[in-house]
Amino acid sequence: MNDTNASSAPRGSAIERDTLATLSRPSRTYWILLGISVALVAIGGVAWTLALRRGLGVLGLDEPVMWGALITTFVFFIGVSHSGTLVSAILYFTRSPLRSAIGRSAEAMTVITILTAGLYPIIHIGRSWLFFFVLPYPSDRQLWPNFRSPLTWDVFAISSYVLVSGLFLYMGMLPDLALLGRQVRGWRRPLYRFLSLGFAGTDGEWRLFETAYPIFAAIVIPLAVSVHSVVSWDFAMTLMPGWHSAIFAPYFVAGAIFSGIAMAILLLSALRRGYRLHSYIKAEHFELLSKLLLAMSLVMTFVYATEFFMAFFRGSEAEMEVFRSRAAGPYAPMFWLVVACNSVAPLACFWSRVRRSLPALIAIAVLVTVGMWFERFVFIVTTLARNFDPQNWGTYRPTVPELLICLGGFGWFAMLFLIFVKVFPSMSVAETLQAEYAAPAAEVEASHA
Amino acid sequence: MTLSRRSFLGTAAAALGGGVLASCKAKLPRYLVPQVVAPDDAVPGIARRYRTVCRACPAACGVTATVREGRAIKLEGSPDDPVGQGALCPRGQAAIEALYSETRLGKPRVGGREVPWDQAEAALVVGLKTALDRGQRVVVLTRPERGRLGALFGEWLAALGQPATQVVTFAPMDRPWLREGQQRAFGSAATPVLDLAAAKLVLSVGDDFVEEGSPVEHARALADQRAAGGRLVYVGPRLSLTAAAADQWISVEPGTETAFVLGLAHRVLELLGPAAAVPASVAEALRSRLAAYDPATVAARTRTSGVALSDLAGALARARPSLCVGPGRAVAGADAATLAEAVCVLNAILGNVGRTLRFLPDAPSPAGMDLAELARRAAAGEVGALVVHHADPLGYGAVYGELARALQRVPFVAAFANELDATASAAHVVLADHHFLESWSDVPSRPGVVAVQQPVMSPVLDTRAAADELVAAAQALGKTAGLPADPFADVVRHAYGEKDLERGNRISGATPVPVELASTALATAGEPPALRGPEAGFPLVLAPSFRHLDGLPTRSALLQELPDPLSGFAWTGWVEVHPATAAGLHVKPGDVVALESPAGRVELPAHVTTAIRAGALGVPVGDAMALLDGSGPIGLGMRVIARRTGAHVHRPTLEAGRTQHGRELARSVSRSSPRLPERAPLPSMYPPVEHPDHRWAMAIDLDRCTGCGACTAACYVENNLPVVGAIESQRGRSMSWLRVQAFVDERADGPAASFLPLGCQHCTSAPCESVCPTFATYHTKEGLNAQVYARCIGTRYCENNCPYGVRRFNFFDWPRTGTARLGLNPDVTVRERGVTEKCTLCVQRIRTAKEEAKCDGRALRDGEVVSACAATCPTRAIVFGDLKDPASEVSRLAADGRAYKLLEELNTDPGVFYLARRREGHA
Repeated sequence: MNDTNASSAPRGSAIERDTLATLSRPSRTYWILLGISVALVAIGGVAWTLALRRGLGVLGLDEPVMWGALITTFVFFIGVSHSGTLVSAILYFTRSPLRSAIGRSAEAMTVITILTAGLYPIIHIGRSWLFFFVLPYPSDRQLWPNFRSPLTWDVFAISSYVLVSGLFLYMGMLPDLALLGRQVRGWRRPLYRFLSLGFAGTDGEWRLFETAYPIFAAIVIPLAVSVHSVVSWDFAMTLMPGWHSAIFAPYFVAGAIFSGIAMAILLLSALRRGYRLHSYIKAEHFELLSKLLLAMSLVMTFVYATEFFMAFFRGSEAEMEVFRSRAAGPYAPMFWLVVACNSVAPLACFWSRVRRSLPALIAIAVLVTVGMWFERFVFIVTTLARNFDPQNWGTYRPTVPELLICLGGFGWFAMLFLIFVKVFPSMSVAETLQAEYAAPAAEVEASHA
Repeated sequence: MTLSRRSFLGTAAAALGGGVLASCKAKLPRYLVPQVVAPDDAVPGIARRYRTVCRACPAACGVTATVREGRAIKLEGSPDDPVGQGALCPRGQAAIEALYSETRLGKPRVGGREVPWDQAEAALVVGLKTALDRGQRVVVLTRPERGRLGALFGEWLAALGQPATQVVTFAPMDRPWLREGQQRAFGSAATPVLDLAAAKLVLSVGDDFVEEGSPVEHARALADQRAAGGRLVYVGPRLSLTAAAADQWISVEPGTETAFVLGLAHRVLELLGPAAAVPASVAEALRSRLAAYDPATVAARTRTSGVALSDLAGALARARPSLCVGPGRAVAGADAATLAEAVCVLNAILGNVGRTLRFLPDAPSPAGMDLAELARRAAAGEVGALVVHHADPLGYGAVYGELARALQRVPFVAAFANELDATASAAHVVLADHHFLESWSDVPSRPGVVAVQQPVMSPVLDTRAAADELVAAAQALGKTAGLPADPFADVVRHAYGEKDLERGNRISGATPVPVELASTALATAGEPPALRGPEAGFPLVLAPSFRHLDGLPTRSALLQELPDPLSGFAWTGWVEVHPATAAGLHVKPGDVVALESPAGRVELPAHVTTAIRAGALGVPVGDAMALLDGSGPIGLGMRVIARRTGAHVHRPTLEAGRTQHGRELARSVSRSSPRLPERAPLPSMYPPVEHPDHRWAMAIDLDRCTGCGACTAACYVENNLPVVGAIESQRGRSMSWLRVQAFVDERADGPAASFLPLGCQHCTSAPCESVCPTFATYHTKEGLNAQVYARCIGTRYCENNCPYGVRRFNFFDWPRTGTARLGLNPDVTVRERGVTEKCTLCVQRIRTAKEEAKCDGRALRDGEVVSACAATCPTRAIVFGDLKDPASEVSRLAADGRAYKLLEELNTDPGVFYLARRREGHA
């Protein structure tokens, strides 16, 4: 079976052709999409340059709201990043057939979104050029970061996550890179040969691969849970009303999985359509995802209700005011938008017709993505806008440069993803073949049973 | 080309030198240490202090100027001065800003163009000569100058062959009705001196004495009076700072205050009977004159409750001594003199004259020309030359409209000024005068006290002393008879000894003169004239403001950026509208309202508040000037039409309004048992924090705080806080380290204001410290919450986690250019953009004091370290000190039954204590 994968697979086999089709010459549509995303990155870059040159005053932040759209986008992308690797690793352990279809792009999405999310804290801080102060680099003054600060934890959590997710993605790609290194011509050939680290598909190598890969998968799962818990502690470890809550870690993890699934649905449907992978990414895959989405939506609804209940149950005036303001204050339209997108819209997945309708799922996924961005925005801003001191309350409105910087992040994400799908196999060839060959055996076993 | 080591070094040196030379393009400073002859003991890096006098308002508080490297950087009150008593108001704090202001006149101007001094002097001489040759009058129009400079104006006119009485004093914010009422009641023109502190009950008839007149002195006296158990009752249409400090605010219908006071007098006479402190015959005459003012009638006319009037009369009759003051601008209408007379009568009946109200003989001042005469003579073409000295009648619009029109007929106007105000802009020659910190003068601040004004530094700009310019002009005209040959500086200097200069004043003392109530008192009291203006209009109540002490919007950016104590508005005026009135006008907070009077029109954003009587509109005096017509005093007396314009300003109204939302930030206790409930210390998971030597702390007595904002202004000057301007400050980006929050809460007996000066609380368990990823903020061994600017990367996490919201972020660089740089405190870092900053408890002052103590080989004494806010506080509401010293003032206050910590339930354990405000009734 090992040999069939890389070395002795027949050239031109349908599976290989289809899975590698994503690497073919870019279409017009691809170039247009890439152009749009590069333009967005450029616009965001110009806006950031403005903030760097003139000062962060070009943003809408002011007393008392010191974190706004940029941090929202950071948390949003961290959330999206979450499910990719996590889902892939979980599917690996459950031997799900879905994995061979969506695993690679989910992992890539994780790495790319972390790389996007990581930009935002740097853009957000007042002296971006000194961001390295948060790193524990050896300095002759023996100055270290403050290990009590959740932001320092963030640095470690996120950098660990990006390292492990990156390695997990890279390692899973090794057999494919080796395969491609033999198949393609032109500039890619030396690239793949170099990146495949000399993987030749021998039995020994496969044995090592099969030993190492589960280890990474096992590390990724708790790490994925921890990284979003840590990000949630940025808020939960403060004493601000509406943030200081024990529910935050599970709430963030659930929210992350929720938004990650929505993003996965969107990316997969795009890949499926763009590269005609209908026979690999099947309707039942989407149905499975939509069930997961529905479950997560119910969890989110439960969390929202719990937050409100706890605020009024506890009886802290400051906390009650925050939640009153969420539901009825200046940000109430956004809050109800969040409820509509995250709690109401996914309920449609209770109907199997919706679950089996890709357009409907795409619509729901878009709503959830929008809803999750606003959810982060609402909970970050309302707390700061309704703090302990009524005379220090305010309303925050993002400015145009600020929104352009956020938009630039989405462009950056799309740009990296588009590049990834053209440069690397976005579906695992090896695993698809494995699944293909394993399937008859499994059927035989099943029939015996 | 080969480059040898030698030629490389040569080229590099030349490049370096060229670069250094090229960067020396700035013209300032002209001298690194700008003293002509440096004092022998002047050491760079060590502050020198000089006594002088603040001329920012006519109160003339004595000040100590801190001078570093030859530049004045800070003013503090002088403890040896009987007026300011060591404190200074926001306006005095902002005087430094005016000294280095970039809009200051730095050169003389002729015909609107800057010229060298010799040309300006020649123009002055020509102007005067022409007038004299034509046989026209030369007149001096000056701000009040009662010292040697005022005398010199007379001597100068005499030398020119003019009557020495042609010196016209321009004092728009003077309150002439007080003198007139006193003249009618007591037949005396002596100077009244109020002993607020000794009175058990003070009744203020619309007199905003903590904002106008001599605010520092009176605010201090009031705080002492209330701390000793005294009460203050305020009668007036508006909850001003004085009314906010009062124990009771009685809101009366504007225009009926005279009836109210006469009703009080009626009732007090009844209650006292034969115990009234006036001769029986006079008392009898008064009874008959006041017969119509029985409580029921008065209550109906003033639309107050008869109970309030009777209770107040009873309290006045019981409290011996008491003191009635006023009337102030808020109630001074067309019959202000009668009201003033009634207040005098009330004082006389209550026996306050000679006890809390004393009269000191004034130096006889020559009867000068008044403004009306000047206007008349100028209009008639008699005035050939007018010398204006720090007076701006043209700035007041219609109020001095007649004078302004007459001045157009004066062929030559020369103005001595610091800023290009309206009058200076219209003058033919503008002579740039020194700032008061650069020149000599003397100010008789009250009978028996002369404050000596000495320069504390050499002039910043190319300015010259007004007196010397006038004398030089006289010399050029060959008319020097009776004029001093020496420069004016020497004249003043030689008049005072070394001791006077060290103290900053010369106190000769004055013996009170006895006065008696005239038998004709209140004989002419009658129906007050109705308010002028359309019947459908709302009475216009003028609100005094530190920004508008001269009646005009200030030019000081700092004063404009300081939020108004009660409304919180910065960089803009406002109109105070009662919610009931606002509902009728369909006006919401922040809606722009157009006010129209026959004299003019202004548009101002609405401040909807219960701190103004329903049916009346309150406007800061400087913003209301355009509505006045000059026919009455600058006070009450106009009705104005108000109309919504449809425009709206989002800021600077507060989103949450002015109430505390039940949060108990500014707490209060009842006067009868001034103790807060005990609170058990909260448990903590952390080990206790040790402070081995000192634990710097602050106690803020909310019972003393009047909300004036002097602390904020002092903090700006001391700590190099940038002024961010109208747009940024209204967005909420003002950099103030210490803000005074005003809460107006509805209580059973009406709205009650409380002020909460709020800066960094220097928490022992500071939430900001644990969240900073770079250790840019940390707790020092001495209890300070320190901020390391160099280490700060601007995550603003600390700001989010500060429950008090006192940290400030530098959204931009706030450049200081030109002369503004000279006023920076060299002991305090100027922060760059992208870092967070906040109150340091004036760590630079702590360091300096510790160094001094170390040099002297002793321990620090209590009171040796004083933060800038505590030093300037007129009421001594802020006390700074060391909690580790059990005998210190701050330790004593921290143990007081009224002491509490802000948001105690969060267990941040602040180093700042608040002492709850004492209120009547239930807290």
